[in-house]
Amino acid sequence: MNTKEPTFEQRLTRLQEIVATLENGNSPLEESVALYKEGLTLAAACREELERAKHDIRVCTENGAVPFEPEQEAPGDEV
Amino acid sequence: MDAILSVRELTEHVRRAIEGRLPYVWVQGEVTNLSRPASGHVYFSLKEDDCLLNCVWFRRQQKQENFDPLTGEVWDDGPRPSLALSMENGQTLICSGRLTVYGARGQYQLVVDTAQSAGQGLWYQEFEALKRRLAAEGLFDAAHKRPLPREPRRVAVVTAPSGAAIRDFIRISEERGLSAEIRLYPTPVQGDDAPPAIAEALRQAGRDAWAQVIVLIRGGGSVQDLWAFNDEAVARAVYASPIPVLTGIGHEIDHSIADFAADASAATPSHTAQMLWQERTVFAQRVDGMELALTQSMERRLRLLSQFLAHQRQALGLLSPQERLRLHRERLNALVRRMDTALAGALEQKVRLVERFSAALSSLPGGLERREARLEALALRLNGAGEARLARAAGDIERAALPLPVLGRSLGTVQEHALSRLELRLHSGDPDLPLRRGYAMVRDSSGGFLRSVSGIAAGMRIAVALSDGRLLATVDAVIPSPEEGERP
Repeated sequence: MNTKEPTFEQRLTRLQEIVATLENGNSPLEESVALYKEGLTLAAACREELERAKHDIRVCTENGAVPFEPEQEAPGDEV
Repeated sequence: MDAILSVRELTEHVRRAIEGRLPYVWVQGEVTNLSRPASGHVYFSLKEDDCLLNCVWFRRQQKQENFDPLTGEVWDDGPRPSLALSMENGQTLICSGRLTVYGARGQYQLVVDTAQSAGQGLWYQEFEALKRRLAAEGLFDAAHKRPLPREPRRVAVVTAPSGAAIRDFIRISEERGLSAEIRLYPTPVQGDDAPPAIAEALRQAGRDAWAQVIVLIRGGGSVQDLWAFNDEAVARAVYASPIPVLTGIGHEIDHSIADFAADASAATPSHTAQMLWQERTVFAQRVDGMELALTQSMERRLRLLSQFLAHQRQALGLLSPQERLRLHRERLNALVRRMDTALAGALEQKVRLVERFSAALSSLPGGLERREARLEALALRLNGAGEARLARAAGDIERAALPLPVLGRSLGTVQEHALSRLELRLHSGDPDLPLRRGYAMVRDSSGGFLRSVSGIAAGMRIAVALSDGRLLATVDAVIPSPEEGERP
């Protein structure tokens, strides 16, 4: 296990590799079963990350980046 | 006025004042906010500096012109299509028509009767001149344009914090991409102080060197509203940005100098978010698809392996000692059957021989009784000989068969030639032995023995059994022997 959490893209790439290896069907069965388990774990992690995904929106001010809440549209404000 | 007016009453006063004082007007201005809805009516504004006149050119007034409406000059080259079809934003028009009050909107407007181009407007000329100059400098060169990062995690947005653009951008991005950080660099996007502020915000984002991409956006508006994005300073800041810039300014139809200078330009602010990130459901589908492929390939693998296992088990069964023993036993049975058939054939031959001799004897003249007695004796002897031969043959069989069960039991380990030896022994009691001495046994296609040429025709298929095999042959000719003699 890496000390750093893998990114979504890294997980997806690894998942793709695993699918390709399993589809080749050349690896020994024990290895295939291990890969299959790893693949299922990766897919679950990817799905969880997608469900959790949320952008962090901040506005740059003199005091640094602070959380941004879009203002309600004022009448006549059309920019 | 001595009473409080209703809105309608006041509007009627205004209408009468305007329409009464200015019944028909000629007016010159630059076209802006041009819109051609499906109704065929044309809506636009005429603009001069900070003044704006809303105009509507109804479809029934958009006639082909046979003559110049300003000078009255008749066109030499025939009627011309109405200017309503070809007019563009930025064009300067001279329009004539009636001023009316549109009560529903509290607006006054010009209902256009005729219009004539008065050369293209100053704004447009300015835009074109700057565009040409910057293009000549290479600010719009495709070679300078950088690819946008895919699925960026750090995005700088340069726009007004209170505008529709940032709201649209955030709304569209909510369902897209993975968790990203979005930093807004606030700036006015309209008015005289907008261009330098926009340029500075772009430079600031560049200096921060945090973002993977800068998004420069502004919602839709009139040509004047969007003018800040046709500013040279903005265009140069976009061009000079160390981080790729994606613009999304105004509506689909709007094009600004900033768009041309950017690395990529989207039609609208919403569209920039679409260009940056894929919908999250697309990722979800990819993950689902891969998980499915994973499961399917694993199931296929297991299915193949279990099939392989089943085949191996079957093959193992075929190679087992029991199976080999069974095969040998079958072969032995076949050989015994062959032996039985051959013996029966030989016996039949002897019986016929006896019949022929007895017939010949009975046909001899004189001393019939004596000959009959002799015949009887001969028949008895023959029968005895036949029986003796039969008994000898049966003895042979028995002797040959005696070691067979023992042999059968040990066949799993006994080599092939042991069986051949056994076969040889069996053959020693075989009446086919004469075949080795050069005799041949001929059968017709139904397997019956041939003993006479009668009934045989050329072309008939025959099988000739020799000591070591059979010849399948066709009769070429049938030649009976010259005299009817019996050969023993």
